[in-house]
Amino acid sequence: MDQAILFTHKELIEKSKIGDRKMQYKLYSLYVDAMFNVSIRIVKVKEDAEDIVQDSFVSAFKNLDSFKYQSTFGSWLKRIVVNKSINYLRVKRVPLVALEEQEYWLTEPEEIEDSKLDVKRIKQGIDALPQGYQTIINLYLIEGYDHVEIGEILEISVSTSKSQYHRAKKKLIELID
Amino acid sequence: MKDELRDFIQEHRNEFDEHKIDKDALWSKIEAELEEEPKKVIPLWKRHRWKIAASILIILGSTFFFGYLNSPGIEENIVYEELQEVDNYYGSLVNQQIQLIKNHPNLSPQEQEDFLALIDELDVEYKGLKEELKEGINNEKIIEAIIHNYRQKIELMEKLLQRSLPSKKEYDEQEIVL
Repeated sequence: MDQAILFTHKELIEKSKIGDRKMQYKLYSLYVDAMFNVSIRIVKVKEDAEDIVQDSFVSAFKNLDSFKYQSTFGSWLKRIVVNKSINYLRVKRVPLVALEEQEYWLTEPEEIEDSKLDVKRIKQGIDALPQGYQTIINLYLIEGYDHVEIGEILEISVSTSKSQYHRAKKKLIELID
Repeated sequence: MKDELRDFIQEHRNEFDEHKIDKDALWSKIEAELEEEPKKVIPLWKRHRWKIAASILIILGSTFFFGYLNSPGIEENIVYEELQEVDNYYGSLVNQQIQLIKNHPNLSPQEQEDFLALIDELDVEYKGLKEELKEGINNEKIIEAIIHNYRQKIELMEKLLQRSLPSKKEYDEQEIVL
C-alpha cells in the first residue's frame, strides 16, 4: 500500500495516543458513521450496533499504542468493529455460515445482467438471504475483505469461505433477478 | 477472477452506508468510559527519578552499613548486584528504544546513523566507567555516573522520537481510508 495512505491522519492519531481528548473526538467524528454502518450490516439491530461501535472506539483508544501504521487507521478500526460484531453473533448463536450441503460440484454462479445491477435491489436481495449467507456476502462484497481475511474473521478455512461465498452469491443473484 | 457484482458494489460503496448515528450522544458515553481509567501519562520520567533516588539511597545505605562492618568483600558484591540491577533496568529500556528508532519509518538513514554514533560514544564512556568500578574506589559516584550515562541515552532517544513526529499535515483532513 502507498506509504502516504498508511499515514492518513497521523497527527490526529499520534495526539490521540497521548490521550488528547479533542483529537480523539475529531478522529471519532471522521469514522463513526462508517463504523456504525459496518456494524449494523452485520448485527442488524440498531441499538446493538451502537453499543458495539461505542465499545470499539473505547477499546481502540485504549489500545491505540498498538496501532503501528501497518494498515490504515480506518481498516485497523474497522477490523475491531467487525470482530466485535461477529462476536455478538456468536454470543447470540446466530449461524455465521450456512450449513455445508452435500454438493460435489460447484458451478460458477451466472453473472448478473448489467441492467439489473442496482444498489436498492442488491440491498433488498441481501436482506432476503438466509442469515448464514448474509455475513459472508457483507464481508466479501461490501466490506471488501478477501477470502483469507474472511477465513480469519469467521474462523473458517479459505476454501470454506470461497465455497460459501459462491453459494451465497448464486442465491443472491436468484433473488435479484 | 472477475466478479462484476463485487466491482459494481465497490463502485457504489458509499450508497451502502445509509445510517447516521447520534454522534455526540455516543461520544459522551465513550468519553465517560475513557475517563474511568484515565490513560496513564507515560510514567517513564517519574519512574527514572524514583529508580535513581532508590538506587542512590541503596548505594549510600549499603556503603554506610558495610563501611561500618568494614568488610570490603561484601561491599563489592553489593555494588555488583546494584550494577546488575541498574544494567537490567536501563539496558532493556535503552535497547527497546533503539529498536524503535531503527524501525522508525519516519527517520532517514542519516538521522539514524548520527544517532547510533552518539550512542556508541556513550557506550565507550559506559565501558570506561565499568572498568573503574573494578578498582573499588568511590563506587557510588561511579554508579551514579553510569546511571547518568544511561539517562543521557534515553534523553537523546526521546528527543529524536519527539522530532520524528510529523510537523505538517501531509493528508486531507476530511479524507478517510478504510
